[in-house]
Amino acid sequence: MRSVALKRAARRAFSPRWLVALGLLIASIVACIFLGLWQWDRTSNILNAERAANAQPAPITEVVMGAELDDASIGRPVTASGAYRNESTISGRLLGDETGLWVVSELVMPSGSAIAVVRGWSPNAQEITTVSEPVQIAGIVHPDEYFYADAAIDEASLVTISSSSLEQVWGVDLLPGFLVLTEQVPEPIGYPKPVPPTVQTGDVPFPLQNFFYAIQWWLFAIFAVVVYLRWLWLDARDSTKDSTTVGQS
Amino acid sequence: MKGLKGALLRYRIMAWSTGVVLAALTVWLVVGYGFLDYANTDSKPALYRYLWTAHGWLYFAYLIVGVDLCFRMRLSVWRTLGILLAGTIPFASFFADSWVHKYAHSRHAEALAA
Repeated sequence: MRSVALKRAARRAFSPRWLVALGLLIASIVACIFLGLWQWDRTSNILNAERAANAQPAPITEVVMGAELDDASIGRPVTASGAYRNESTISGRLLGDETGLWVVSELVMPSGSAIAVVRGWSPNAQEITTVSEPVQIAGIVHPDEYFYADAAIDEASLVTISSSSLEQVWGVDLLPGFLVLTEQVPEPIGYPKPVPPTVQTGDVPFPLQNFFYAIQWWLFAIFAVVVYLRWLWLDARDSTKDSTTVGQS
Repeated sequence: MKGLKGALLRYRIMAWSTGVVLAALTVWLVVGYGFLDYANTDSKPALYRYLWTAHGWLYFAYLIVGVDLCFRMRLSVWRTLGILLAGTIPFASFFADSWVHKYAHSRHAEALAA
């Protein structure tokens, strides 16, 4: 019985009316696929554009604001200018496999606010060169280090970098987090030597809306096929009913 | 007309939920682009995007219950397409819902009474 009905439906599919329907079906599948691809491209374009925008150095005032670091600002490259004032060293830091220390300086910006800047690594405290002239720098935004948060705050032996403990050591107000220096004008000479940034850039928000639209367009294509088949099946069934039991609509 | 009552109810639920979300979004879109600078993507709030995403999925559910209802009622191709598209046009799904109920009651009175 069922195979007979199947054959009947198949035959019906090649009637002129159902061929037109088939044409419409194919057209709408193609349209759905392309519309889905369009939303898919938009998804990746938005991601790439936002990532590219984040990779572009921005003035520090646009990235580091308020009392706490925004998640999105972590790992962002920023530019700043000003002059170094206070300075501390963080002991027990490696460069390659050599133990030394990191030099953290307070950069006072023209606006009056200040931020901690890791100028780089030095094998010992004696070889650190100080920079007294105004500088222009580029750096990567890092969040405060929270490990050993209960370590004694002693200027001589800091082990972690956190803006709040540096505030106590230096007796100043600092912006949250710190920068790891990547470029400086005038160029750094000797030690401290700039170190590679230790954070990864936070990723940009995912454009979920466009991503789902892409999936939905493809689901619509599947939906169209199901509707076509179901319709054809009902039509074939009804037409046989009409021919066998006359008078029943 | 087996299960017509249930299909009508399912369609009513989807027509109204999809319709209300779409109507709210339409008003929001007009206000947003007119007065709140939504042309600049950054000024769109997260909820606005989530609602559009929600409408996308609601509409998908709407399609499924809508086509189920149209098959059960043996509606013509054009009427079916009209009902399915009503979920994408602001306020249209409310009219589609009221039309389909009236039509069902006039055509299938005995099936609905059962």
